[in-house]
Amino acid sequence: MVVGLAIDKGKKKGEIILTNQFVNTIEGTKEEPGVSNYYNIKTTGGAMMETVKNVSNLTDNSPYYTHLKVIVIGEEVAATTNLMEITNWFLRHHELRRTIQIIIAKGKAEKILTSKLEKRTIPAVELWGMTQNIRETKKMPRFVTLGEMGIKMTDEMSFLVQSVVPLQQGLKMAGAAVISGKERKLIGWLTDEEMNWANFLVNQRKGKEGGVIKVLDEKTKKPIVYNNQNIKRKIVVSRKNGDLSFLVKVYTEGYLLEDWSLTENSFENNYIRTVEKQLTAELKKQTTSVLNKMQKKLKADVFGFRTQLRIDDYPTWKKLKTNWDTEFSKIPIEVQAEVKILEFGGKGNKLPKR
Amino acid sequence: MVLENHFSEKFTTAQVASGVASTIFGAGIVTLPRSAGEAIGTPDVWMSLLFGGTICIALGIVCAKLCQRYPGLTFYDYSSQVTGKLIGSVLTICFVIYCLLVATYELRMNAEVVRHYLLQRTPIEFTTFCFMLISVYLVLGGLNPIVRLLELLLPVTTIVLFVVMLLGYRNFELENLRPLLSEGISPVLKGLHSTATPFIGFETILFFTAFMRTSRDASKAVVVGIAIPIMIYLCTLLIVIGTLSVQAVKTLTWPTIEVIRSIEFPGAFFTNFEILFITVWVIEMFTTFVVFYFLASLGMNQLFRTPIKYFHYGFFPVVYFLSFYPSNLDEAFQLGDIVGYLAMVFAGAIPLILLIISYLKDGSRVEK
Amino acid sequence: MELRQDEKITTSQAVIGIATFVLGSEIVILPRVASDAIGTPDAWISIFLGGVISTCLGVVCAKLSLRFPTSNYYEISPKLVGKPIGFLVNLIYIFSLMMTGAYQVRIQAEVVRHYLLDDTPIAFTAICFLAVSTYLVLGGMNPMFRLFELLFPLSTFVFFLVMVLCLQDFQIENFRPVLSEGVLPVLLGLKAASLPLYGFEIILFFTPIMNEPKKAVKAVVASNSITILVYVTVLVIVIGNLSSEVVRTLTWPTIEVIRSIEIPGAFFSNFELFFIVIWVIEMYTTLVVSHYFSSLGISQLFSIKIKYCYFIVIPLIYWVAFYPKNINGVFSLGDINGYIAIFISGIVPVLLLLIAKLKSWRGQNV
Repeated sequence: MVVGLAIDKGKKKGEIILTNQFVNTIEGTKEEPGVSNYYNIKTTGGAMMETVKNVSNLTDNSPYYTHLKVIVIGEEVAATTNLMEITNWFLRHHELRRTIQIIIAKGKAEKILTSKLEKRTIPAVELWGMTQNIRETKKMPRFVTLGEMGIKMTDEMSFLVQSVVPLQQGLKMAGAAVISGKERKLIGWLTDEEMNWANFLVNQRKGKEGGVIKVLDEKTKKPIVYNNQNIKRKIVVSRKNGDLSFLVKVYTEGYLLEDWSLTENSFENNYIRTVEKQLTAELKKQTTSVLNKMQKKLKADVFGFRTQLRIDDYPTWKKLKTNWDTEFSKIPIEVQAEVKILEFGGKGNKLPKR
Repeated sequence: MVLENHFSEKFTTAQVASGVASTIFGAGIVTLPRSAGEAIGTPDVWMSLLFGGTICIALGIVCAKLCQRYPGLTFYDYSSQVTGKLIGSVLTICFVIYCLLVATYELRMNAEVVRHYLLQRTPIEFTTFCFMLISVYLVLGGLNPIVRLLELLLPVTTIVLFVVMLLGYRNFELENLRPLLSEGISPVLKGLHSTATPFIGFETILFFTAFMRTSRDASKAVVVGIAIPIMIYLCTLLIVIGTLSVQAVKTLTWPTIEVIRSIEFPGAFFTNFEILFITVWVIEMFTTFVVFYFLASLGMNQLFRTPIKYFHYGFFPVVYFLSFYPSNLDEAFQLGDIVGYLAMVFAGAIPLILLIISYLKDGSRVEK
Repeated sequence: MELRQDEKITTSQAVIGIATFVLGSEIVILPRVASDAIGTPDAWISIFLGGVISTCLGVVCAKLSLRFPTSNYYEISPKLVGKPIGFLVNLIYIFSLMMTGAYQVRIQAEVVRHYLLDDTPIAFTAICFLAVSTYLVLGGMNPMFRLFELLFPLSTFVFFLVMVLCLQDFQIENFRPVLSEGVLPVLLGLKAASLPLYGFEIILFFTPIMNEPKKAVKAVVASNSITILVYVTVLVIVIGNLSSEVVRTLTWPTIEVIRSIEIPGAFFSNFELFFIVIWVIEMYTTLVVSHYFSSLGISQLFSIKIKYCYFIVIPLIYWVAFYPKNINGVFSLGDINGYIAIFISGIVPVLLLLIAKLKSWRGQNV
C-alpha cells in the first residue's frame, strides 16, 4: 500500500527517480523499537509507468495506489519537465484517485519522504494532514488535487501549488510554487508571507476563513492582529477607449483578536474605524505588491482574472487567450481593499476610561 | 374586541408576573456590569441598581394603574381614547417601532454572544435566522402559548442563573466592593440611567393587564415581576464586580460570562459552566424577543385591523435585516443605548403623562 | 399478437419501460461527446432543444401507434407500405435494436474492466451480462416490467444523490458566458446531444399492451422528461466540475467527476462504486428491452417460436458487441447506431404517420 510518491530527476537525461512510500504493515503487530512504520523504495526509469513497474522487481508487495495520499514533485523536475507529461499516467490509471494532493518540494522531493518526524508518523500522511490546514493559516495556498491540476493544465491556466521544505527535524509548508499554465512548468515561488496576501486575491471557494493581518499601530508602534473570517473577492473588467484594465475588490471581515497598545479602546467605534483603516491600508499595499510580483516578475495569472474576462468580454478574451499570461502582465490592475471588524473578543480595552 | 378570538383564556396573576420577569431578563444580564461600571466608576453600582429598580417598580405601578382604568383594553386602544385618535395612532406606531428595535437588539446580542463563545465559524446570519424561525413559530400561536411558555421557563432559568452565579462565590472578594460611596452619592445617581435600562420590559404590563383574570392584581404582578430581576441583577452585579473589580469589568466585553468562565471546581472534570449559562440566557433572550415581536405585530393589527398573521410574517424580514444594520459590535451596543433612551420615553414618560391626562379628564367629567 | 391477455402493463410501467430503455451507456460519455461536438459549455442548451425535438417525435410515434391500437411496430409498417418495404424496415429495426444491446454490452464491459476488474477478460463479463439478460427475457414481458418498476426509483435516487454530492466542486464560472460563440454551435451539436435521447419509438410496442392505450402520448412525454432531466443534470454537473475543455480529454468524464467526490472526515470515499452499480443496472435494462424486442421481431418476421429467437439473438448481439477491435471502434459503433436510430425512430415513424393520414384522407380503410 503506497501512501506517498516523490518524483525526482535522475542523473541521466530524462530519467525519473520515483520514491514509493509504503505503509509497513508488519509494524502493526510488533511494538519493537527501531521498526519503522513505513519504508521507501526507490526506482528509476524513463517514464512513469515503467518506473512504477520496476518497483515489483524490488519488493514482494507490488505497489497498490488506491490509498495514495500525496505526490511530491521535486523542484528540479517541476522546473524542467512539462508537468502534464509527468502526471499523465496518474490521471489515466484507475487506481489513482483524482483527489490526491500535489505538492512541490523545494530541493529534492525524496528528502521530504525520508525526513525524520518527532511524532514518528509516516511523512506522507503527516504531509497530507498539513495540506488541509488552509482553514487555519493563509500562509499556504489551498491544496491542489491531481484532478484540479489536470483541469488547470488543460485550460492553460497558471496556478499555485503548495510547497514544502524539509527542516532539520520535520517539514514546513513554505508558501507556494507558481506553475505557468502555458509551459506547465515551475516558474517561481511565493514565500509564505507573500502567500498570506495572495490568498486574498484568489477566488476562495473553500477555506475562506483563517489567516491574519498584522499591523503596527501608527501611534504606539505596537502590533495589532486581525483574524480573517471571510473573504469576498470580486474582479471588475473595464474597457475605456479600448484599454483593458481590472479592478480587484477585496473584502474581508473578521475579528480583532490581539492588540498590544495600551491606549486601545475597542468599545469606541472610532477606534475600531481607525484600526480598520490601518488594516485596509496594509492589505491594499501588500496585495498590490504581490500582484505586481505576479505580473511583472513571474508573469502568471494565478488569480483568475482570465475567468472574469472570459465571462465579461468574450471577444477580447478570444483575442488574448493564446498568450494570456504575457498579455496579463501588461494590463493595469487596481486593488480596492476593505477590512471590516465584526467584533473584538472578550476584552475591549486594557485601561478603563478614567 | 378584535382580540377576543386570540385569547380564549385569561391569565393568572402568577403568569403575568412571570411574563413581566422573563421579558425583563434579556441582553442586560451580560452587559450590565460593564455599562453600569462605566457609567458609575465606583463599586457602588449595586446601590444604583437598587435605586433604579425601585424607580422601575414605581413606573410599573403607574403603568398598571393606567391600564386598570381601561379594563380589557390594551395600550394601543386606550392611548387613542385618552389622547384622541390622531395622537393615539402616532403613539401606537412609535411604540411598534420601539418594540421592533428592542427585538432587533436582543436578536443581535444573542447572535454576537453565540458567535463569540459557541459558534465562531458560523455566520451570524445563520444563527439569527434559526433564532427567528423558532420565535416566529411560537408567536404565530398567539399570546396564550407565549405566556404559558414563559411561565414554564422562568423558574428553570432563574434557578440556573442563581446557581451559576452562586458558584462564582469562590473568587469573590469583598474588598472589591469597598469602600462604600468612595466618591459620594453623586456617581450613583448619575449612573441611574444605565442601571435602569436593563429593566426594559416591565412596560408589557400595559398589555398584560388587559388579559388578566383579576386585573386588580396588576400592580402586584408588576411588582413581583420586577422584584425577581432585581434580585438576579443584584446577585450578578455583586458577584461580577466582587470577582473582577470595577476597573477590570470595564475592559471586558461580556463580563458576566467571563466570570462564569473562571468557575472551576478542584478535581472536577466538567468546567465549561458558561455553556449552561449561555443556554439559559439564550432562552431568556428568546422570551424577550418573542414578547416584543408579538407586541409589534399586535400594534399594527390594532391600527390597521388586518389579520395579525400578516404582520408576524411581514416583520420577519424587517427585524432580520434590521439586526444586521449595526456593522460591528460597537454599533450593536450603540443600538442598545438608543433602545435604553427610548425605553425611558415609552415605559416611563408616556404612561405617566397618559395617567395624568386620564385623571384630569375624569375630573372634568365629574365636574360636568 | 401472441401476447397473452394477462400481459398488460400499466401507464407508469410503460413510462418506466421507455425511460429505462433510453437511459443507458450514454450517461458516462455524453458530456464528452456533446462538448466535443459543440465546443462551448452550452451543451445543456443543445440537449434541451434535442429533448424538445425528441419529445415531438415521441408524440408522433405514440399517435401512429394509436391508429393501430392492437398492432406493434413490426405489424404496422407492412400494413402501411406493403409487405416487401415493411419487411425491410422491420429488418433494419431489428438490427438497430441488436446494435443498441450490443453497444450496452460492450460499453459495460469496457467500464467494468477499467474501473473494477482490470484483470478479467471482457468477454467473460459480457457473457455474464448476456446470460442474466436472457434469464429475465425468458420469463416474458411481465417480470421484465415489474423488475424495471422496482429498480428504476432506486437507481434514479442513487443517481441524483451522487450528483448532489458532486456539487461541492461545482463552479458556475465554467458555464459563463452563455452562448459565447452564438447559437450556431448549439444547433450544430444538436445531433450529438440528442442521440442518447432516441429509443422512445419503443412506445410503438407498448401501446398495444397498455391497459389504457389512450395514455400513450402522456407516457412518452413523461418518460422523455425524465430522460431529459437526467441527461441535463449529468451535463451540468460534469461540465460545471471539469469545464468543457477538460471534459473533452477524458474517456469517461462522468465517472471521473464522481471519483473526485470526497467528504471531509468521511472514511468511505469510493462513490463511483455506487454509481457504476446503478449505471450497470441501467445498461442491463436497456439490453433486456432490446434483447426481448429484437427476438420478438425475428419471431414475427420469420414465424419462429419466440423462445428460440431469444437464443438466436444472443450470438448475434455478442458478435456485434465484439466486432469493434478497440475502444474507439466501440465509440464509432455508438455513432453508427445513432444514425440508424435517427432514421428508424425519427424519420420512419413520421413518414408512416403521413402515409396513414394520407390513406385515411383518401378514404381507404386502414
